[in-house]
Amino acid sequence: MKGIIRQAIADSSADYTEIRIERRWLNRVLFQREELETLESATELGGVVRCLKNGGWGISVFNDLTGLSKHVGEAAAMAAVVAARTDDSVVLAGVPVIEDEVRVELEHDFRAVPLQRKVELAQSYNGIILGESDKITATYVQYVDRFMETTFANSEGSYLVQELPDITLLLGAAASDGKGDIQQGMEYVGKAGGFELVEGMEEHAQIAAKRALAMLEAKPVEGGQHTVILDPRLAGVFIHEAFGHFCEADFLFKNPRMAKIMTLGTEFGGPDLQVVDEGFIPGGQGNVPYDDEGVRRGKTHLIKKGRLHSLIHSRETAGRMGAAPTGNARAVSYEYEPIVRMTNTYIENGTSTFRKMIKNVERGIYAVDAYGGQTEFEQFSFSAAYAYEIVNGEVGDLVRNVVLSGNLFETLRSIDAIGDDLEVGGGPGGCGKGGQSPLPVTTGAPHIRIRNVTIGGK
Amino acid sequence: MNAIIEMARKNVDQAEVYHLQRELLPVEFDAEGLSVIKAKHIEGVALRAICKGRLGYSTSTDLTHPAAIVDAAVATAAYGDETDLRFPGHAIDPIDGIHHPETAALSAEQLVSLGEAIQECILADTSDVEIGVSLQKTVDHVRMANTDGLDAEETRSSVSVSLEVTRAKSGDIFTVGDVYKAREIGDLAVADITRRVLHLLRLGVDTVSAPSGSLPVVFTPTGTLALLWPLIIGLSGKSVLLGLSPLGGKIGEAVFDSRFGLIDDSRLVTGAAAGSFDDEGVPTERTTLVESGTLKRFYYDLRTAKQAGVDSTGNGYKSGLIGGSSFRSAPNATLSNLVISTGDATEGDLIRGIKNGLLVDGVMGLGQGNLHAGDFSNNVSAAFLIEDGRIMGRVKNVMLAGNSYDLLLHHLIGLGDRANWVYGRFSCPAIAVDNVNVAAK
Repeated sequence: MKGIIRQAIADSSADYTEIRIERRWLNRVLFQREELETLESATELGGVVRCLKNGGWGISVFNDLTGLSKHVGEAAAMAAVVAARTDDSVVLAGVPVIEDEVRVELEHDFRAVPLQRKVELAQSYNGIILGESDKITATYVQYVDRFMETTFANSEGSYLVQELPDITLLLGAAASDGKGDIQQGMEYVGKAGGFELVEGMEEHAQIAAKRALAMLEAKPVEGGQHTVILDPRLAGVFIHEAFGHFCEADFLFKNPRMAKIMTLGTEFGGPDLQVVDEGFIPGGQGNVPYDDEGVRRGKTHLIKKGRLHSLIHSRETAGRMGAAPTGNARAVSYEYEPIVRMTNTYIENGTSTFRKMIKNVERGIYAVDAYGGQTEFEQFSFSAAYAYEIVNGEVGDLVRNVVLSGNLFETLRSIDAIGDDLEVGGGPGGCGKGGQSPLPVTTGAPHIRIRNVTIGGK
Repeated sequence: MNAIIEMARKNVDQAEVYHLQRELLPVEFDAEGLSVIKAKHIEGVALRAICKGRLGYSTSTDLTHPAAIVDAAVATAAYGDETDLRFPGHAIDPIDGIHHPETAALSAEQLVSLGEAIQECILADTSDVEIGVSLQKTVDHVRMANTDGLDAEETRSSVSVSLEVTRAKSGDIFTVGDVYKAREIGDLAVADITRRVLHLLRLGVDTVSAPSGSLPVVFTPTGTLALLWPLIIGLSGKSVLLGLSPLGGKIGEAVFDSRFGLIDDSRLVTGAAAGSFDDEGVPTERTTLVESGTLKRFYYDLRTAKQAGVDSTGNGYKSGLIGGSSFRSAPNATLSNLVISTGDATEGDLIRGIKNGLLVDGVMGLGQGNLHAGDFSNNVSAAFLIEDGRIMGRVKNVMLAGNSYDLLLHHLIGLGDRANWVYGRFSCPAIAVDNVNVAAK
């Protein structure tokens, strides 16, 4: 393979050529209620060629690997059309030429686990949720494992082979009061790791079911402005979705006025606010030993002491801004070209504690985990998975329909306490951008407290 | 593909192969002009196999190893769920106009020219904006065969434009966007594609403070998705079987205002989801889901239909709620082209009828809220204040909340007389409803 790839690159008429070949194996087990809803086993083999010619990009994607040279020619031809129609020319920041092979060793390799064991495990969790109460009307128990091997080569001489494992478990429960009200409870884990992660989750299955039941009794939150404490999961989703995407340099090129707001050194929060994107943490689903441009992983402080410290880059955005590539060029699969993406993104520990930050909140909301969220520039909106009232400095009753929304920059300035209990984690979802979804990432934070958050309710 | 079916026939009771060859040609412009052209040649197969009454599934893009594909499906079938599913062998009635050789032959240069014309048209009207345009040619060749005699194939070609225009001032960003899909490039007129976006940009020049309370809201065709989302889920035969739909058991009942109707029509060639057979080889049909407010039917794929003791409505698709179909996912009960009934008022009439309320064109985070119960809860992305029947300006930081079942039964003010395709597959008029919970920051 190496010889064929090298030869196809050598024959290219483009100024820069790269080839990425990807092989992946995937198994998915999904139980819904009593049904084994999905059991699938997939293999993927595909490739992508990206060519830069006279400063324009052209791309060719294919499943049939026999015509590699033909696809190099096609990508170069597309690049020439782009170059002829545009004035600005792409310049790639220089990076070291690397030849490396990154193999992983898993504690309990899921590839060696029979499919039957995976089905039985998911089924047992499903049984626990169903058995919790007659009011449990639906379940969503999903096990997914994926093993990926990518080969990357470019015309500068880099040649990299790396393996990326990924395993997730989602334990979802829906409870109904029989009168039309339906509420959910969800627990999940995700890791670049082995089968051991998903074993021994019986207690979590029970927690998911119990929460769905408890949510039936929860009262709707009162809409309005509240002091809110976010748990590490929700705070992590917030910092990734609402802030992290602004640090992606390609986004800023497409939004020049936004780029002005995101000037390095600008103060966005208090001196104890620090935000990091890190290409490798043990077991992190966002891990990329080398990104999809063959750049070695980095650790980038997006916010340091409250001020914007660095953006994240691909070779193209770094080349344009005179910055160094940060190892953040990622593609969700061989069907796509790499774009600037986050990896493992988190708020670093502060000095407060959950106890301290809740103590002097007379009335507020403790919001936990996210069911979904979206941002449109500086406006964001997130649904908390569940939440509690805070009354006189203590966690009170469970409340429902907690959707937080607001303006990112005002919200960052309104963070007035950062805990010391950082947790970074993944899950079955992933990040979406530019039609490329779901890309495995992790997010995290310690508990944080924010003043004056708008919460929708009825 | 024949190799897979023949190999499977020897090992399993029933087998079904779905084979997709997809040619895509996306051309992308960003704020600075043409940024990239891609040529994609995707080919993959999915195999469903029933062995000893159990269902197995595998997919692959490595067609050089048919035996591995069969083995994987058989392996999953060993632990698969018991099923009494029968793959269909019906004759397929083709749809005219679903494939045009001229569309398949479109060149990158032709798409580039259309993209440039769209950009020029917008910049001629307003200069302080960033424009993102993507154009794409899609040619799907789908072939399906099963051991019950099905052997169907269809080529579906289309061309699409997606447009996003952003006006950014210090601390304020306003984005409007649209997606247009057509079977032929000649149906994508620059004036049509840019008209709505330019209109919204003009309405949104000034921002005004928003009211709060229980207010009337006019949803533009694009905005209606916030309101329709819970219904899309609630009308699924699968939601009904799972006991998650409040519509369960209500066939024949007046569950919506008598002016409201919904039809799923996969035979409508102008809709992006058109096809003469679904992704399970079931001939497609026009399915009336709601007629004059009365619930008529739910939509089903083969499995959910079998469980419910009814026929599949030809809604077994390998895709999510708003499309994105490929060969990978197993078929699920999914809507094709959803057509919402129109009324007799223009969008302007509906706006003029509102004393104090909102015009909503877009929300953030579709699918937020307790959808099964019918609740939606969204921050608006593009919304405008209406006072005494006139648009006063754009509002920001506003949350909308309501229950779609309640609003469309008790609080429907009116439906627009013209429907637009939203995301190419939802044919929606403007919809005005009262009593929407509006919370402004």
